[in-house]
Amino acid sequence: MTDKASRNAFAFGIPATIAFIIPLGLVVVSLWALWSVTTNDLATEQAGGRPLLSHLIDDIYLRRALTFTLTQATLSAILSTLLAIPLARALATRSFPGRSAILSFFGAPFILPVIVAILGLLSIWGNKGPVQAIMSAFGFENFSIYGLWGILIAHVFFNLPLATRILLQGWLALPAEQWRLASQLGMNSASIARYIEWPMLKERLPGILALVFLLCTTSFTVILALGGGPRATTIELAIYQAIRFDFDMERAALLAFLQIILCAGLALVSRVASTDFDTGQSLGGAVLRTDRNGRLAQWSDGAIIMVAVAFLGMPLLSAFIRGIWGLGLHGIDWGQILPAALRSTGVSLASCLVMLLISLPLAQLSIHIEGKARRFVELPGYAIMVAPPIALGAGLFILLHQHVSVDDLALPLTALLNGLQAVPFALILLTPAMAQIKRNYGMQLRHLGIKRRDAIRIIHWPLMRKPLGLSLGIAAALSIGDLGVIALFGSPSAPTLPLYLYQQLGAYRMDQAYGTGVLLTSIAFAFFVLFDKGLGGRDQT
Amino acid sequence: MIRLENLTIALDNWHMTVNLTVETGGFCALIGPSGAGKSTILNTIAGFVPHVPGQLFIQEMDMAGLEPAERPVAMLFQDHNLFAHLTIEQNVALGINASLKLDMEEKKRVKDALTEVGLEGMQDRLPRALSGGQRQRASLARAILRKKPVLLLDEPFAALGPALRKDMLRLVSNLAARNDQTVIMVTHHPEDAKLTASQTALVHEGRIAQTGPTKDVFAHPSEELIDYLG
Repeated sequence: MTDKASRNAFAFGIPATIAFIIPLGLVVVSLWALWSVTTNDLATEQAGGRPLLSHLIDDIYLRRALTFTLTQATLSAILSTLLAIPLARALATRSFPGRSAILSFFGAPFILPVIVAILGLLSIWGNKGPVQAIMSAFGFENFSIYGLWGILIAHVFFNLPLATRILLQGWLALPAEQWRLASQLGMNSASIARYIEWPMLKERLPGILALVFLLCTTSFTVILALGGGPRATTIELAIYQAIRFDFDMERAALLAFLQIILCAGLALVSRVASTDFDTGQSLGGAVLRTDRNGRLAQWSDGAIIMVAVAFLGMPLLSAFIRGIWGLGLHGIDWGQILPAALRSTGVSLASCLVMLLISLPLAQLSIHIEGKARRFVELPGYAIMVAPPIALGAGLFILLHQHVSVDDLALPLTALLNGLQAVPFALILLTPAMAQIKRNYGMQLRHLGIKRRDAIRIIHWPLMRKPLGLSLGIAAALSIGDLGVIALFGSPSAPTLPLYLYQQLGAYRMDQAYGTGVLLTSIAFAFFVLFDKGLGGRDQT
Repeated sequence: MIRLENLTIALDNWHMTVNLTVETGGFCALIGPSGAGKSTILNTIAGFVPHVPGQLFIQEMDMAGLEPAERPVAMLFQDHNLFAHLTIEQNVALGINASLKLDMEEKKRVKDALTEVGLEGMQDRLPRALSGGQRQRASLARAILRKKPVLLLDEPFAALGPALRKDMLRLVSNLAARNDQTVIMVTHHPEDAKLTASQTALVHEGRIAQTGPTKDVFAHPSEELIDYLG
């Protein structure tokens, strides 16, 4: 296949146009809708209108939402990152049976439906959970999982594994010679921390903090389930409340604008602060250091790992046991569950298609472009990070609700936005894989003159199916468990499975909710495994 | 015959002008320091670097505008000559049938080519199950199978030990002579040139600083060659 043919096959022409137009078009249309409502509102409020900032300063509700968004995200990012440091160091230092299982388990919160994880956290940290009982025994009776504390616990639950894995890669990437040198020079732990570990941490911590901060700023489901009320409302939750409860489109538009400005700024900071984390690096093996051979160091590392595993594992185990119990007690309400599961499956598969339609041409195009222009080409794929789904959804809702019934479009819109959400992950997986094929075999393919169809069948498909399968697995699992966009658009009478679970939670039908949680998790994991292992197959690279 | 007539190659802020003629059936070694442009000359002949018409001829045919696959050239790269996920037989077969749907006659040709390079019985193995030398033999089998009049070698044996490298060079030399192929080889080892090449060209700062029969070149080295050999 010639280079020209290869580029024409995937990157240029109709596929690339679609990949550019869908995300950028949605952002532009949504921003236009938000802008038109906001300017109307401000103009009517005061002749000539007022700048956004002055409106924000005057509105206590908006100010509170902004303050709480920033506060919880800051605390969550700091807590997750700080806790990840000793945990990553312990995992980097110790080699023990089950270590790789623990590291695989650290990937589970990523594909676990958020609402199910929250159910698990409620069962451990909630009013009737064991933590509450222990705290009461020590006289701390005012603790509640609802509000800032619960949000922080949930955010640490989701982000501690991510931060740990990135830091662990940093530890394992330190050259083995440095550890041998430290050993020869008789350096103690403090010197090693200063001369070997701190330079690595200094490079990685800003990026991790920025990434976790960004994730916590847009973690709608956690706030929806554990926050709320004037003291624990983020901008995204306020958008949702303005649309679903108050039907106040002007306020929703203003909040959405604020969220987009915030996320655009954060995405920029995150991009500047982060070095490119090596996503594909193996986490096997451990560093050979002699300063932590003492009994105390061994015990402390062991304790840190056990506490982390308990913190992450107990909610999941508890949710699973209570779910099985709930299913045993009440059975499965097929009349409700089946349609909801089918809706979720349909949305999930459609979102996979959206993800593919956008990420494949963008990845293919970007590997043919050198230098800074590559960032520009990939920009549409990362648009969803600048304009997060709830803000984007608010714009679409405002645009559409006057003309059509948004309820009727809930599922297609959810699939579209879910698909967009998965594109950044897909680009991270697909672009390096495609670039590797081009780097290793690009000249060979041109030299041998292999035709496009043959090249796809013989070369590209075997080498791309693994990252493609993983991308689809992530997209499917994220979409199946999504309770963000669907909460905004979805009709209570035709819910997806996560929305149905949330309805059960709201009605205090806890046993049924846990049962639905098990089913939802099973479907999400089944889709993930089906794509990742079934379609992805063995790694051919 | 391969003829480079004032072949101008421009890459970013760097350009070179090359004059070189290699007779049909000749074996030319390109030697010179790193960054001098040896591999760039090979990549240009193979069609990976663009050039203007009237500067590069193979068998008196102007190569300008021809895609790499359309040129009468087979090339062995330094690495990644074989697709890691395909068997040795599939890798070699790509040289004659890119769909890999081989008929009996094609299968026999692949088998013969593998036998010719000493890889009989290894057709079902993946490249990672072979040694470095065996992998390059498989690449060579594919190059033979393609029956192109010109063979370009971009240091394909650089990673091999001295004895194995000599073996491979002898094998290439014999096969090329048997198939009447013209060979241009990039190498960092002057002894490789002395061992196999009928002609040697020194590439220095983007031009051919000295060329001629190998014996003459090393018997009467130019200042640049003396600097290079040290």
